[in-house]
Amino acid sequence: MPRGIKDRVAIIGMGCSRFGERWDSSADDLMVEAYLEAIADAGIETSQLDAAWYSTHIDEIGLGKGGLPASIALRLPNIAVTRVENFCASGSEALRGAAYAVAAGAADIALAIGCEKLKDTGYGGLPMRRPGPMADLIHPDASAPANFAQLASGYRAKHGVDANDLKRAMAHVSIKSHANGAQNDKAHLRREITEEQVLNAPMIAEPLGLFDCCGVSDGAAAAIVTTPEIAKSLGHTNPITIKALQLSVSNGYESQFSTWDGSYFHTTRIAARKAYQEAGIDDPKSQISLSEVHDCFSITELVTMEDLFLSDEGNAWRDIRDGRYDIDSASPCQVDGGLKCFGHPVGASGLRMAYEVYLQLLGRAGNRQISDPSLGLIHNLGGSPQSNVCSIAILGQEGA
Amino acid sequence: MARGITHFGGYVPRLRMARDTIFQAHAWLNPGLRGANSGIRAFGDWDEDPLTYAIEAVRDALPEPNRKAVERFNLCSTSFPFAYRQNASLAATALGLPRSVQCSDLSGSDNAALLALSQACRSPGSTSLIAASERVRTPAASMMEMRLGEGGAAIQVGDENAVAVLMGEGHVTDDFVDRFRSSADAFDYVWEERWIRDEGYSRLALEASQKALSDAGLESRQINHFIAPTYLPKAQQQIARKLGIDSGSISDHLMDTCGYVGAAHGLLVLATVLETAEPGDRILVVQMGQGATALVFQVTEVINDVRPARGVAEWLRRGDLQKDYLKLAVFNRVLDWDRGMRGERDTKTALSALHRESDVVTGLIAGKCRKTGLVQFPPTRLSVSSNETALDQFEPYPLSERPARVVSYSADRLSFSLHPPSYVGLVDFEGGGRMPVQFTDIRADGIETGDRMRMVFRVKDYDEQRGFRRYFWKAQPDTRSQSSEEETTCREG
Repeated sequence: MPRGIKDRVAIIGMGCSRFGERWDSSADDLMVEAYLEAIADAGIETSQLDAAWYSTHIDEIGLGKGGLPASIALRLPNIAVTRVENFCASGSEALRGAAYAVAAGAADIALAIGCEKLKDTGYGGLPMRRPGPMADLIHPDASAPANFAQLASGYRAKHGVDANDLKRAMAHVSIKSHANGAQNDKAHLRREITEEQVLNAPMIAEPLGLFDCCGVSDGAAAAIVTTPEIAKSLGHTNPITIKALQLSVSNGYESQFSTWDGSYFHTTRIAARKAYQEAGIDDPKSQISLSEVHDCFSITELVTMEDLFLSDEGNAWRDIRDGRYDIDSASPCQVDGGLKCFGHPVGASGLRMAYEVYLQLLGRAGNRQISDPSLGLIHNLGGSPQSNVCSIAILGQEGA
Repeated sequence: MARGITHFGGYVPRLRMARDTIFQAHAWLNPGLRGANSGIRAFGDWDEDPLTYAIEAVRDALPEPNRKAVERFNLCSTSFPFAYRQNASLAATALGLPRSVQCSDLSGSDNAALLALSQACRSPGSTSLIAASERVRTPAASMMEMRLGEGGAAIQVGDENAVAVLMGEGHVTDDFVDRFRSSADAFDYVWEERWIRDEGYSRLALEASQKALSDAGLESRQINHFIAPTYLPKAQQQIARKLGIDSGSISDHLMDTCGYVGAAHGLLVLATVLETAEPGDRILVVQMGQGATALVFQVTEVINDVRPARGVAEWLRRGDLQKDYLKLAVFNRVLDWDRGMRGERDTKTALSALHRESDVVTGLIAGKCRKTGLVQFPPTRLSVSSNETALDQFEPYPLSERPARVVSYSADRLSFSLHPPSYVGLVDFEGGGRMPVQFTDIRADGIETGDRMRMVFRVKDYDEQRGFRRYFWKAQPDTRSQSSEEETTCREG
C-alpha cells in the first residue's frame, strides 16, 4: 500500500453556507457565502490560491459545466480550476483533488469548493437522471430512495430482522438527526420529530417513508488546504490534518456478480479498511470520536455503521436503537444533523461533512460541541447500493 | 404426414374489468351501454401492447428450442405500435428466431391472421409461425370499450407432426365496411350493429363457411367446434343457425371472459379449442374482414402430445379484477391527467445504441464465460469477477426463459409511473447471472426476497415527443408456481 497523505495536508479554513430552500440566492451567491467564510477562517487572500477544485453533480439544473462557474463567481485569479463530479461524493472529490495537489507539491494553497442549487427543479427530491444511451435502454427507472430502500429487503433477508424492528431502528436514525439538526442554525430541517411521526409518514419507496429521506437543499461548502508547514507559517499552530483519504468505486461486482446479497456496501468496506490503514487506526470503535456518514436515507446510515466496522455485522439496528450513535454517546454520528437535516446540496455535501468534523476537532462547534474529539470520520457515498462510489476521509489534529 | 398446425398457444393480459364497472362509470353519460354490461373484459397494463402480447403468445405456443426452426414469421394486428418499422422483426429478435427468418406484418382487417394461416398451410416445405394480437384503443363510454378485449395467439405450421390439418377453405372478398380507422386516427368509427350483423357478417360468414365445408367435403353437422368471432352479441348463434351447425358445437368465444380481440380472435379461440380437442374433431373457424375467411381443420392423434406452455385457459384463470374504471382509461390513453414534473423526463432513444445492443436489449442475451463459467448481463469484453477477469470469453447465453429469484426490491412511489408504485430490484437467474430489474404485474400484496420470477418483454418507456416506444425485459411473479392457490376465475387486486 502506498504511504498515503497522512499529516501531509492541513485544512486551514472552512466555510459553509446555510443549507435549505435558498429561494433568494443563486448558486454564485451560495459559493461566495461559503468561500468568504473559508478564506477569512484561513486568514488568506484570494491571490494566495494556486489552484481550485470545484464540485457539482447536476450541472443541468445548477451551475453549468466546467471550472468556469467557480472561477467567475469567486473571481479567482486565472488559476487552474478543475470541475469534478462523482455522484453524491463529488464534494469529497474536490477535497481530494486539492489535497493531492498540495501533497504533490503542485500547489502551496488550494481551494476545494462544492455547490448545488437543487431547488430550481420545481419539485422535491433529486431529478431523475438520463444515464446514457445504453443505460437508458436497460436500467430500471428507479428514484434514489427506491435504490437505497432495497438495502432494507436485503438486510432483513440476510439477518432475519423483523420488518417492524428494522423500521423502528431506521426511525431512530432520523429522530436522532432531527434532534441534532434542531441545534444547528445552518441546517435545512430544524424541527425535532417523534417515532410516531416517522412511522406514520407517507411512503416514498417502501420501506422508506418521508422522514427516512434526507433533505434536498441548496448550499455550498469550501475548504482551504495547504501543507502543515505553511499552515504554521500562517499562524495555524495546531492545524487539522488529513489522516486518510480513500475512494472505492464499484466495478460491476455488486450488480453483475451473484454473491453480493444486497444488504451492505461493498465499496464502503474496502474504502474503510484502506482509510484505517492509511490513518494508522486499528480499532475504529474506540478511536473514531465522531462520524459524519452519508445518511441519504435512514437505512443507508444503518448499514454503513457496520460497513465502517463501528457496529458488528447484523447488529447496527440494535446499536442504533440503543443510542450508540446519539450525540451524548462515545462516538456520535451526524452531530450537525447529517444529510438528513443539515441538507444535501449534492456537490457540497462531502465538504459540509468535513466542515462539521473540522469545527468539532477545533472545539468550535458551539452548542453541539462534543468533548475532546481526536479523530473524525467522513463517509460520502454516491450512486446506489448496487453501483456506487464511496469516499472516506479521516481528519484529526496533527500527530493524533 | 400431412402439413398443418404443429404448435399453438395464446396470451390474455392479467388485468380484468367487469363490464358493469365500465357501465357504472358511464351510466349517466351513456345509459345505452346497460345492455352490454355482462361479463368481464381483459386489458393490458401500461407496459403491454400488441408486440408484447404476440411475444407472450409465441412463448406459450413454441418452446425455445423449436424457435430456431422457424423460417417464416407473420405478425398480424390492426393495432401495431409502428406503422413504419416492421413489428414482426422486433418480435422475432425478442423471441430468438433465426436471423434468416422471413418476417412480415399483416394488417388492415380482422381476418388477416386466418389469411396468413391459410397461406402457411398451403406452402409446403417451410416452417411458418403466425402470431396475432390486438390492443385497439377505444373512446371512453363507447360500446367498443365494453366489448373489446386484448391479447394474442400464435400458431406454428409445419410439414410434420401436425395436431390439426387443413381440410378445406373458403374466401370471400367484399368491401363491406362495418367500421374503419384512418391511418391518422386512434379510434374506430362504427356503423349500426343490426346492419353489420344481418346484412354483413351473417351473409359473409355463411358464404365463406359453405365454400370451406364444400372444399373439405363435409356437411355442417359434422363440425364439432364452430368458431365465428365478432364483437356483436349473438352473431355466432345466428351464423351457426343459418349454417346448420348444432348449437352445442359453438365454441366459447371468450366474450364473457376476455372480450373481442380483433385480428387475434380467430386464432385465440382456435388455440383454446385445441387445448381440449380430441383426435378426429373437426373445427370450422371463420372470421370477417372486408369479406370473410373460413378454414376447416381436423384434429389428429398428435394432439395428445402437444400442449402450450400455459394455454389460454390458464391465462384466463389468472385474472386480476380491477374495480377502478380509471385504470382502463389511463392505460388506454383516453384520459388527460397530470403526470407531474417527474413525468416530463425525456425518453429519447439512441437508435444506433439500440441496434448495437439489440441482442442484449431485445434478446436478453447474457454472456457465459468459457474460462470461468460466469454468466454476466450484459456481456462485456472484460468479465466481472471477484478475482479473475477474462477477456473476450463470453458466449451468448439467453436469459429470457430462465427463472429468476428476487434478491432485493422496493416499491417506488416517487419516480414517475403509469401504474404506481413502480417495483424495482435485483434478481438472480437460476444457472447464473443477475440483473437490476423493473418488476411488472405485481399484485396488491407485493413481492418478497426469494420470490420466483419469469422474464417478460414489455414497454420500457413511451417517447411521446417523438412517437417512439422502447422495450425491455421485466421480471414478473411466476404465477405458475402459485397456481394451486389461484384457481379462482378472477381474483381481486
